[in-house]
Amino acid sequence: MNNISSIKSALIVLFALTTLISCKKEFDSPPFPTDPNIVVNTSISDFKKRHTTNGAIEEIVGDTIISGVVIANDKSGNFYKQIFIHDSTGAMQILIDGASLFNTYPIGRKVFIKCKGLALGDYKGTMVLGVKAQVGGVYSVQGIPSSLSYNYVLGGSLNNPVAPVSVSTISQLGTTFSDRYMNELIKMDAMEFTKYNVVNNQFTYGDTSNYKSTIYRYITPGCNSRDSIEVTTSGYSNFAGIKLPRGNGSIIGIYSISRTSPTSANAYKQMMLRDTNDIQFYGSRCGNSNPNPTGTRLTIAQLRAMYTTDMKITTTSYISGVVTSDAANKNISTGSAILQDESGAAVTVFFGGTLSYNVGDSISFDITNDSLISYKGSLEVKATNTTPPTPLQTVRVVVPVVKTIAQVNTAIGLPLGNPGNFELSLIKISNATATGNATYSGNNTLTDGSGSITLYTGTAALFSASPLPSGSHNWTGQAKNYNGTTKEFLIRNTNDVQ
Amino acid sequence: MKNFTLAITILMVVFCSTISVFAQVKTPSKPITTSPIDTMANEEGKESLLDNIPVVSLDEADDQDGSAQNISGYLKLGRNPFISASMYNFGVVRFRARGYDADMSETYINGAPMENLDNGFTPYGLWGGLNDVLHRKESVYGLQSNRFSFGSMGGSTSIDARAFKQYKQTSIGYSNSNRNYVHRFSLTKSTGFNSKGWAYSVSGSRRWAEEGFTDGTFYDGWSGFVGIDKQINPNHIISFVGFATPTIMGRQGSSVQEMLDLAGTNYYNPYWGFQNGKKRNSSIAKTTQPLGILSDEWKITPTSTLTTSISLMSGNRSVTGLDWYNAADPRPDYYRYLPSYQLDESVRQRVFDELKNDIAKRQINWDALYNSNKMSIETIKDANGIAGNNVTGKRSVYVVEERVINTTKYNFNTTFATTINSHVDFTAGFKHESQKNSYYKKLNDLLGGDFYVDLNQYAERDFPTDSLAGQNDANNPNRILHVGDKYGYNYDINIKRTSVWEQVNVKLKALDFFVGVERSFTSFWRVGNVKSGLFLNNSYGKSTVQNFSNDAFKAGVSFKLAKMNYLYINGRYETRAPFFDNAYLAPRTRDYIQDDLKNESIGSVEAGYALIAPEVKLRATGYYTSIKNQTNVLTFYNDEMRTFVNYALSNIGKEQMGLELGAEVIVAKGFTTTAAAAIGQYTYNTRQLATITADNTSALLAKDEIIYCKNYRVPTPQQAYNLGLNYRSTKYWFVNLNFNYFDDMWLDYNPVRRTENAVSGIDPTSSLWGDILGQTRLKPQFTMDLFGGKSWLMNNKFKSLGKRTFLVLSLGINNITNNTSVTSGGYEQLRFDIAGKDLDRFPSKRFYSYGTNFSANIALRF
Repeated sequence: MNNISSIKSALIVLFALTTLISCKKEFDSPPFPTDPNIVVNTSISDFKKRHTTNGAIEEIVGDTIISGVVIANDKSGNFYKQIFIHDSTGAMQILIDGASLFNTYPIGRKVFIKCKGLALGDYKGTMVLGVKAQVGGVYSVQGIPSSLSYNYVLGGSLNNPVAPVSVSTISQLGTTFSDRYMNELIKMDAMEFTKYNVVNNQFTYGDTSNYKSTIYRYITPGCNSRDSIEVTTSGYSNFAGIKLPRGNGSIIGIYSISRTSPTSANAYKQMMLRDTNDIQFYGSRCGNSNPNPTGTRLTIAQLRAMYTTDMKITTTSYISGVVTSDAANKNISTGSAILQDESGAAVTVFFGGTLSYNVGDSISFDITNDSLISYKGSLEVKATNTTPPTPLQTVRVVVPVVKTIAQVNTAIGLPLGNPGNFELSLIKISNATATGNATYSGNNTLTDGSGSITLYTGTAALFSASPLPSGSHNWTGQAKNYNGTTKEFLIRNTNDVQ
Repeated sequence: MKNFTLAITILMVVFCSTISVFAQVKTPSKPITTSPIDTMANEEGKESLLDNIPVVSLDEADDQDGSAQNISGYLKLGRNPFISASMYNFGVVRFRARGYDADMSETYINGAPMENLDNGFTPYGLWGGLNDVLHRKESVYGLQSNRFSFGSMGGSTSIDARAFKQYKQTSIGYSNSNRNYVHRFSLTKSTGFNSKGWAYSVSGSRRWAEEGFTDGTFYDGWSGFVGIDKQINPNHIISFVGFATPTIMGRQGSSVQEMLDLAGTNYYNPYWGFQNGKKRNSSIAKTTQPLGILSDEWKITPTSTLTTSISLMSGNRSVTGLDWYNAADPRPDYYRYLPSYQLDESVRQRVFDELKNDIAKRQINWDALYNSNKMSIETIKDANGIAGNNVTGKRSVYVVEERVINTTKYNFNTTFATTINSHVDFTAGFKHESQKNSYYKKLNDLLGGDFYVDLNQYAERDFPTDSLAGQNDANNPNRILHVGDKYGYNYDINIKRTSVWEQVNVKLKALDFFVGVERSFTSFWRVGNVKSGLFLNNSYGKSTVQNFSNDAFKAGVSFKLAKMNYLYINGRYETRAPFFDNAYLAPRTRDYIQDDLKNESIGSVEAGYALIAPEVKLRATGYYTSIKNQTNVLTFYNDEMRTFVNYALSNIGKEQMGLELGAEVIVAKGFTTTAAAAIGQYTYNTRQLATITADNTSALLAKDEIIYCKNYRVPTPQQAYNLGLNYRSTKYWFVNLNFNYFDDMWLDYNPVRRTENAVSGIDPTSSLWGDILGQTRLKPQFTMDLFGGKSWLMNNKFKSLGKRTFLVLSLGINNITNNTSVTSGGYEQLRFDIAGKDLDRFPSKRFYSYGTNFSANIALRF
């Protein structure tokens, strides 16, 4: 017992002595950033006037202090080791040799630049502010080392407004170093990518190959304008793989020029986007033969509900939707496309000729005076205007709805105007097996646990000679009641079979 | 660092031993006697018992995140001058006896095995600060046999921490030093058996420093111990000990020479930075792993003893660090922030001046990290995997992560020892060990932000169009994280090992010999607790179980040449299951395992001569060890392949041989001279094969790429020498002066630099060829240590004291000459500029041992 109590007292002494020096202190954190107490003595436009000669380097020796709000940075990867600032007089590009500058210099942050010790120069004809450095025996202006950047580029308050400067014509944009718009965030309205980029082809913003080279895509005011400006995108930007929008609208970006050599007379005007929100091309292309639709927007479900017998649409109206048919794989007649909208309903639209819509193109067009008919047992809008509208957007996703074959057979047996008839809508039939011919071509039979339906593939379809897959698969496609007699299901391409 | 803790240990150890010697406290308890199994060991054992030198090391490396431990577990018999020197004086250069890794020796406490099954290391940190109660031990070095276990290649230690084995006294101690902790306070009280057959012992200590030797480090380690014994009858004792050492410390990191030069000190620490004027360390190690051992010693007959132990250990150890997402590298010594990254001389000078003149610029800029987080307003779409659930707020781009290892380990061990007749001893044992480690990251601090997201930015970058790939937890995509949430990776490893062994020791007039055999079974598997977006089919759930069975054989003979003269030769051969750590390519994300995983095989022989006389002690041992079929896995950023890679090395072979010499001569009354030398050659003797897979895709990038590393040196000093001068006064004071010299030290090499690729296009006669391939040899080093102390019997002055009371003072000064260039460790970075062949781009990193450092100690015992 005595032992125990002496142990107890020993423990008490131990803890009393040692707890004297134990208190864990929390670390304080810095206040929310505000503007430093620094007096700005030079406007950006005045500062820019110091650099006039190609290739010259002006080291700043006096106490020049400029200030501006960050208008672009490296967040999307389209700019690298650069930030852009502007004040009310002009804009400046600042080179900083660091990664993820956007964390320190987010758009809208005011920065104060102590220019003493920095240098003005130019790169491909555009003025830059950095440090003078000799690389490979040649002097140039290079990025401010990130270990030093805090001394020169001081961060201030956040969330200052960043309004782009509107420019109405490309010719307003000058090519001198001190041009008002040089390195500025500019906005131009009613622009579109050239036909070559988005109509004849549909290119991506940037280079998605391993080379990740910088790519130039031209935009113009359209309608045969000979004016154009490059939209320049780095292969390292996170939107390099996104396809260019086909419509027409406003574009915001950093303006600069690119000369092939410092003394070259050719100055290519270019804009660089911060991200794809800088392009809002939702209007129709200039000169498009389908003018902007007018009148009432009808959903396709509403349109279908109008149908009792073949008719002409007399109300001023238009429909919009996403193309779910695949013209390229040709399991649909060449002049037709299937359009589905947010109502879930779909309809065939017939323009004639040879259509080139990709799956996911979104179109919008006037259906006033068009015909709404049953063509071989399936509902079709027969357009009076035979020029197909240019897609407004691309790569829109329509998610197929899962149905059993029994459900399909019931639904497409309903009258075409019945809201329960989901003919032509994109559906998925799970765990179904195809039997019949050796290849897809012609009539085969698709069977799931609930029933069977004809699996039809036209002989013109690119995959018609492909072997019919054995075993159970999930099938995506559209169903219709051919001539009111044969209930059939069509896939668009072999990717529809999973 | 480790050398330093070792030094402290040494001091504590010597301190305690001094107390016992000078205080002349005799062991009060009645030990259960066992017959000696080896004449020579018995001789040394007697010596050891006299000095009663405790051998416990607190190894702070064990608090760290799986980094290599360099203090081996073979802390052995104190009076062997060679072993004393390697324990007390060679730690400064992380000397490892025979060049062995820490997995080549073993330690038992009250019969319970202590080794980590995942890597074979002994977790000394678990009993750090408890030297007062863990000093009683039995050890053998090298291949000698013992009677508590089958033994290991490097040696075995058995600590007896039972309450009744402790000195029946109270001890209060305080130490002050300028090492990784400044203060140490300890209190120990043991009762011995009372009349009812119970014995108790408690011990506690706290070691702490607001700031240690190195800038930005701190230490706060508590230790507590409780021991209870019940003597059922004179032949049967049941014991329980429980101890815990909750420790928290701010760590020191290594850096490149350029940064050390800028800082003007080899003790530059990149882990800390100022936050509002205060030093904050980003790398904080925390350990709380309590351990309980229930043991039973039953003397069945006067000549047979059965010893059985059950132990359970459970707890966490963790280390924090910075983590970041789409943000600039926050580490102050990142190569792009250093002057050498600048091509222009004047710009380089400006960066140099900036870093040279402003200490804050050489350290983490916490304020900038907070500001970045506060400015980062983002919306996470479909947060937590819920469609349409958009979360907006300050998304941290920098956070502090805590890498946690939760371990649960239980062991059962029983040993039967019997003396068949006066010539023959028989020992046998059965051991089962089971360990489960859970590995995960925990969000420790959002640094001013509102949340973090459980995404793998490297996978996102590699698969920009695959939204699942970047998900660390594909079952909970876009998971919003708050402080305390687990994230990143989360998996368990399970390891089980069962062994049976037996051993016969025969003692004859002219010679002793022993033979032994062991058979063991090892199995391990991985269990993934999250489904990685990169490896949907191989990350979640239980993996295939890997099974191994192994055998070990040993034998030895010692000849009694004449009185006190011995000649001995021992040998051992074993196969050993690979360690979990070396088997899985990337256990954080998947269950892929090295191809053709097989047992390692290790063979060793040692032979020597010993003279154990009262005035002269001399021991010379030669040894040869061959290790085959080892494996290793490294993960790092490969500059050539521009991705993180898993570098699976196989066919690792080593050849380790050398000579160990120790001598102690009594020159005059009280004067002793000791000398020790370790002269070895530890080399890799095979060309290793590297199979390289991409960490994010598991794509096979190279199969069996040859690493030209034959005859490269194992990075530990291959030569170490010690000369000691000792004086002990009859007036109860003593002083020791030790001189140490180290040579043939090598930097660990980067296998990437020893490939055909690394030197392709380079003229083999050029100096660059040699610079890339050559292994860096470190300069020889010299150090000098002083230790002294005195004790008083207080009863002479204070007649009123009831008990015999001793006051003991001691002072240790290490590295008296303030040699600040002693490299305690270092390595070449695994990154290599293969295209540019620029060796200075990713230079080696080194740790330096402390300059002059001291520890002053005072203790009262009654």
